[in-house]
Amino acid sequence: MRSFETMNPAAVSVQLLLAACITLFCLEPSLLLISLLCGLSYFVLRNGGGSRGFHLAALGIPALFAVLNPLWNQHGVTVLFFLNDRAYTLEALCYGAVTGVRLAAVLYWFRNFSDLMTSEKLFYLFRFLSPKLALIFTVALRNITLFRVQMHKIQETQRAAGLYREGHLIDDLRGGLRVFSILLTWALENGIITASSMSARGYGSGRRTSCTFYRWTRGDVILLLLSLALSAASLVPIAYGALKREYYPVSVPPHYGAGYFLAVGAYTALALLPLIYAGKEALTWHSLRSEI
Amino acid sequence: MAQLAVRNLTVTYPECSTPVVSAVSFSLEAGEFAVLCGATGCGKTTLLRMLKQELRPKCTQSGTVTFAGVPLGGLDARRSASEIGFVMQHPEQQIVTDRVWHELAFGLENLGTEIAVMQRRIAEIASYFGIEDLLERDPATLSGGQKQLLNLASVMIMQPRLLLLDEPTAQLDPIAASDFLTTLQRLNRDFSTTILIAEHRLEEVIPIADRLLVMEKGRLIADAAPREVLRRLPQDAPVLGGMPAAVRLWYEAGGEGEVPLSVAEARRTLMPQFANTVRALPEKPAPPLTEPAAELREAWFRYERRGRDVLTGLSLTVSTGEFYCLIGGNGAGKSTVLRVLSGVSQCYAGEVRVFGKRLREYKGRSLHQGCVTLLPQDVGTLFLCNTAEEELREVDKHFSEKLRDFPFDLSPYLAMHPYDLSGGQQQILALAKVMLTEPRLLLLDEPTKGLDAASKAQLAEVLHGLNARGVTVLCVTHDIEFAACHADRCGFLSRGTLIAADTPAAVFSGNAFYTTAASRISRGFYDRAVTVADAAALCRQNGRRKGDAACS
Amino acid sequence: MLLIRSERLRRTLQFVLPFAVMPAVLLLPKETMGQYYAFISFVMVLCALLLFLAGFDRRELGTRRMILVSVMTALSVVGRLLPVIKPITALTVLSALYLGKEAGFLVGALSAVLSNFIMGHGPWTPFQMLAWGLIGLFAGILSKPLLRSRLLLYGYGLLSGAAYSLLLDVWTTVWTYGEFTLDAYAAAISTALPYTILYAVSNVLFLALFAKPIGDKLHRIEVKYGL
Repeated sequence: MRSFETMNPAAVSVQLLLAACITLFCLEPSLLLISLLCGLSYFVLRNGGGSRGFHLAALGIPALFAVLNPLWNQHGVTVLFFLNDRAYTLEALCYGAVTGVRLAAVLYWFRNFSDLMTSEKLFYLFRFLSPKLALIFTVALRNITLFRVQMHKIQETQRAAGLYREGHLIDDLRGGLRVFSILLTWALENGIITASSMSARGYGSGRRTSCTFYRWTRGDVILLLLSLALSAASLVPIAYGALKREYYPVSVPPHYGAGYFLAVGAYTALALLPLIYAGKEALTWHSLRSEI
Repeated sequence: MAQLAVRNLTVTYPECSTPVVSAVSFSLEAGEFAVLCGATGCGKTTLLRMLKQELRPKCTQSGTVTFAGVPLGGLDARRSASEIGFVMQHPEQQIVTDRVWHELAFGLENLGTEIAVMQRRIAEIASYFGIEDLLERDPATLSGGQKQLLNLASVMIMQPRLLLLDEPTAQLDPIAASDFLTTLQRLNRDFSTTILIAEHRLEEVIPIADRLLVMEKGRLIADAAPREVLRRLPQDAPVLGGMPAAVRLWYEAGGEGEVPLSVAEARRTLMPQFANTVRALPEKPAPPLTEPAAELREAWFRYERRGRDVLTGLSLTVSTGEFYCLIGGNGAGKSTVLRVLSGVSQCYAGEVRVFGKRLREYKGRSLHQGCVTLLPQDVGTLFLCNTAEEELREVDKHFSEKLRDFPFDLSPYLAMHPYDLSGGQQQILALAKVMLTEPRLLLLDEPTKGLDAASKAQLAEVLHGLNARGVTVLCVTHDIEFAACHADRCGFLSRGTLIAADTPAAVFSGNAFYTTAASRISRGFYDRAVTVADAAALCRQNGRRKGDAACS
Repeated sequence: MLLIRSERLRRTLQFVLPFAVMPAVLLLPKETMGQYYAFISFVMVLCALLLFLAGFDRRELGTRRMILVSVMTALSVVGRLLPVIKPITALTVLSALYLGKEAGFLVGALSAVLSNFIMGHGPWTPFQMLAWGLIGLFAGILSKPLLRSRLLLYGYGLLSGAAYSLLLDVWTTVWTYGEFTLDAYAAAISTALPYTILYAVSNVLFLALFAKPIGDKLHRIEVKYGL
């Protein structure tokens, strides 16, 4: 079984974006926590223990939202205390925490998306929208790497060539701007060369095709259909209000019936897909290795 | 029918009165390998661009260009794109996408090729060029030579019949340049691709060319087999400066018979023509060692904590007022020496002194004020204004007074845009710009890259002029001919240590492989003749061998 | 993927969606919208964006103009990484003035999406894309007067800074309150006011700094090579 990231980028991004969008769609703590856990686990699975800064920011958000929301939000009836004559309510605190969890979960899903979508995969996706746009996008991506290197070079050169004057505050401030100006001049002149190189190789001579190594295999189609079906199974009950929870003025939970469990269950399956693929791949490798 | 035929082509740019290309006629047969040479600004680039419909500049023109019998303008857009390939000078800027395989596919995509066919072509061309391992890489991570090979491959994948190249090796180091030319020769031999290449580094390309076209001031002054052209060139033709050492020696020493094109030919046919009893010119005394301007003692440096050492206990002394060239292969640590001396990077062990003071003792930016300055390899990292004058004024409003002593008259170029200047002029403008900070130690990184022989001579003159005004020049270069001709002293760097440091004559006559072509030609016949001028002087001093006329 | 074939219909939708349908939907009472404000506004912005982007394939941009769009995009992304300089708006507006309104939209929208690959994506990405894209689009439409008068250009910079904040505040409101009320919106605007002012002023500053150099450079390219 192929790992999740080698599947067709369109199928992969449909899965990731649906997982993120359904999270956006609801305010039900159980579903949000499942979403956060799955997004977080897949991220950790791919990146290992690193990215402490990102975890700190993403997981700090719920706490921050919980504490801050009651400051702006006077809804709710259970007053905890008064701050500058404004009521600080339990309901607002809960609501803040829930929206915080929602944001954290979405952040992890988006982060997984941008980690998985390398430039060639993005090119493949943009192509559906517009081939021309896809090309502008790739060239821009390439330029970003190029410009960052060049900017670093310019900064060093400016220093080593003695073009900063000593003890000149205005000059120091102008430094950053000058680096950018030099980069700009260089970038525009270079752009013209790139454009000639493109037309020399026949760009704009007629209908063009796009080379890609991605195909639709049965596995990809299954992944796509599975994502769509699970999303539908989750979204339909949600649309009928199966997860509708009132927060203000008092917390009213949704009706825990078939619709509730269908929505949460289907979403759980959807959010687990990347992990399931990763797990099966690990198992396959393990058994292959033991056979050897 | 000729593959390419140019009849009476005249090209004039909109704002100019004189044509850049005037009444040029020539034709190339399929499978020919032709070299187009001439001084900078002689119209080579314009002529080449006129041969490719998509790249024609804004201009008025007369005359015709036909490709396989069809006028260029009447060629179908796709046929024109695929059958006439064009490779430009700068490796980096021609690359469009951010994956090697995608770059190869780019041309085919434009032609609307089927995906299956594309994948097959990519596999084929990658194997021919030996770049399979690079397919998944981002081109930004490749070396200059690899990038240029990628550019060539992504043109060749469209199977062109005619390949036009505009100074493709100018930005490459000698090894990469030589690899590139070898690949070109292979393409010409294996697929009979017609090649027209504009170059001013001719040492290696002349021996493999079938045809040599020489341009001067927009006119084609010669067009024949290389040997024939070279025999008839006037003694003072400007293009001679860029010719192989063998050819220049033949001219300067007054050789007879066939013009030798390579070192081996010169040793076989030219050197035996002279009596060769005097073996050496009187030895020039080494310039006296004065107060050191820059000094490294047991310097150790690495870029990353766990990386390899780039400088391994390097000790190096540059005397005040001299012109010191540091030579060595790729990765020898040449540029690193400049970074360390200019304070951009710090050694982790050892001592670095500039004018007797430790680098650390220069507080704030005092090191770069009136003391040390580094002229970068890529002068594009310096320019930001619309004219050369603004460029200088940007550093110092009173630039004209400060540059009164500058050994080059910049006034004709002041109104021009920096990017419209030729490579050599850009280099000198950049030099003027950094000289405005009045440094006493000038560090140069590969200043001759992309310059033709005349510009190199001009640059050397400027640098000697600065020397005469008391400026110390430390220059890092791959260009050993330049070092041999112009340096007061040379240092030969390898793997982070100094292998030899002496006068150019001593260093290059001591080296057997990493040495000038003139030294390789004269080895065994003469001692310490490392420049063409020295070797020619010895030849003339010895005189022709008597009764040897029949031989030649 | 041109789902809507009719050029005119697409044109109308491009503008009606963000400027008429979205405000109308946001002002619907909470009873009809339930808890789905966030989702609905997200989807609508996404649709508006796709409508704009999908239309570009039909237009003749020209190779040089296309490359310049990528160059300006990359420059504003790289500029966003520099400590002080946040030039996306200035570069978007200037690209629009010299390269046309399509180019302006693309530079704005693509800069937003690309810089978020470095700064972090979130549900706000489409909002930023649309906001910056529209700033570019309108600058392109107004290019004649803006090119003529420097004062108008600065005014546009000021205004676009404010407009950008106003649009993103819609998102903030919807997100934090789960619904859209004018009171909450006003509150969000007032909390973000210092940033909005800073942002608008810095736009003017960067326009003042970059208008001439970038104008000169793009003009030179136009004269020397043609666009």
